[in-house]
Amino acid sequence: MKINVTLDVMLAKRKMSVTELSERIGITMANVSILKNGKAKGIKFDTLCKICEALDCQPGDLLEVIQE
Amino acid sequence: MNNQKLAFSLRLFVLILGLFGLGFFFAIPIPVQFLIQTYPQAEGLRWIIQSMLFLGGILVYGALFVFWKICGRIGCNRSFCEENAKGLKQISWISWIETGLCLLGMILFLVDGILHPVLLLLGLGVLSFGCLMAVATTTLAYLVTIAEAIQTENELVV
Repeated sequence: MKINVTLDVMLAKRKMSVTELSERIGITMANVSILKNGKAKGIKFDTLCKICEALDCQPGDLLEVIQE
Repeated sequence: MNNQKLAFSLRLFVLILGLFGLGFFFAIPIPVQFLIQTYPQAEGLRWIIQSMLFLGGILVYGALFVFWKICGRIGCNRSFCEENAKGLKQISWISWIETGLCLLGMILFLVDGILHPVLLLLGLGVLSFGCLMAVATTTLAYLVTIAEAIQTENELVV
């Protein structure tokens, strides 16, 4: 089992690009891409909070548990 | 002190050491000649002794070259990388070989009855330093490997 970050789904729902999100939350595009592509090993609460604020959603909307 | 300054300082140190080392190569025949004057029976060992000293010097330059490359990577903010860990292991191996060469030389001198107390002291000093370098660089290589893993993990935490 692993945690999957469904950032691309939320970005599509909010009609926001990766570039716009990275500018809003003050994180580099490279890091946002790492999150989006599922390569991240973890996420700081601060980052999660900023993403939720930018996308007007809850952490549960971004994270899901999947079977590997 | 940032990485670039540190790398520059270390490379300068390597350069100075390298230049001093050149003097070592030119000076090799002098102590050998002195040894043969003190122990005429060592005349037959002249070329063996000079070759071993020459080889030892070449090995030190090899270690300096590897360390030079490590300094380059430190300057590029790649202090904790697999290449640096490998480089440190190579330096460790070179130190062990140097220590072995020194031990071989001392045994040779002892067998031929030309192990002067000063040579014994010098030899023990080189042996100690060589072992210390070998163990220290092996430990550093291990720590760099661990640090690399931690850094990679940290970089993937957004």
